[in-house]
Amino acid sequence: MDQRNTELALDWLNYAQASLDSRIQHAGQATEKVLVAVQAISSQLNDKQDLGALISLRSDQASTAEILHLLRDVLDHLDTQNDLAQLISPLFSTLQFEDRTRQKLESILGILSIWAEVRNEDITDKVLSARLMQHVVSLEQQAILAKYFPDYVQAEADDDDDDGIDFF
Amino acid sequence: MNARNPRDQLFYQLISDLAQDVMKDTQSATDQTINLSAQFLDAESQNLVENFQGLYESDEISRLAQNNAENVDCIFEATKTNSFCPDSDSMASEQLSAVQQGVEEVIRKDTAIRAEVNVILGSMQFAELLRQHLAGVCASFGVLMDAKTTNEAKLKEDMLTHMHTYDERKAFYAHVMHQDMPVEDEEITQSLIDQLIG
Repeated sequence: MDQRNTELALDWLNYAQASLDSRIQHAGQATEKVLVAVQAISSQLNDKQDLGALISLRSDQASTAEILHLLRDVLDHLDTQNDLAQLISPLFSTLQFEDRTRQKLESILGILSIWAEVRNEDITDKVLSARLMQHVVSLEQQAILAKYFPDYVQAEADDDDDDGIDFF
Repeated sequence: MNARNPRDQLFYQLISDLAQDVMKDTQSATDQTINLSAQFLDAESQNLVENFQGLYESDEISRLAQNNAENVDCIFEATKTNSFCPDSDSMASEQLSAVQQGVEEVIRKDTAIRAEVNVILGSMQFAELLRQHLAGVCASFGVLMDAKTTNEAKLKEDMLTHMHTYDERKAFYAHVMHQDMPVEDEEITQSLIDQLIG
């Protein structure tokens, strides 16, 4: 591959990473918006028992995973007959989706980085698939990878697999 | 570009499939949010959500929003000033009008409903922008892989035609074109939700 084409490919890679990174940043802003909405709704509930931690939480002081955990706990204790409380449930789903999307985008960024690293390297499919698997965060992604590396990646999770990967 | 490089092609296919997977999630989550919220929102708020979704699904609006910065400004201006572009077709105008009216109604509602609707519309906007960014990445990767010309400037121009949002054009100009983004592109705004509801 000539030098100019390699440079263009690397330039494109930098653009792609910046483009996807802007969506990861957007997901972070969306999380903040959801938290503010949940707090606005929570503060109007008559029964604020167990809501203190949630209402006073600031998005810059907690990870999305921590916010999700706290919100799940709150949802478990809310009065299911209360209309206001019911408004929180769709927000929880939105937060889950945005967090999952953020993780998948980070995964794609990682795989793009590997492309840049290996495109001029002579490595085996076995080694390449192992490196790619390090960035896989979901069963759907694993199934996609299995399409391209059927000899080295299983299409489904192995029940006995104890590699420490926490898929969603 | 070395179009025959099997490893490059593999990564192109892999990234396309992974992007498609994200988009499938996104569509599913948007549908789920709308369905779930329909159980709790009042009719006026739900109408706004559905009309807003229709706005993004409208071919006319999408074409205007994606292809021409002037028209995007015109759309946003229309939502603020209650006036529509003279050259807007009637269907697009009706959808904008419905959204605008819905926003005015929701703004009068209590804090809880307003917060809920704000998040739902924000989630829909997030999904739409994400779709455009992923489409831009995949399409420009395709241009790179298929490279039908050795003219680098032409290749870049071909890739640029697939960039429609402010952030992706900004990234493309910075990293591929190596020049400042044109002034007219700087005027593209993505904060439709913020302008509508605040």
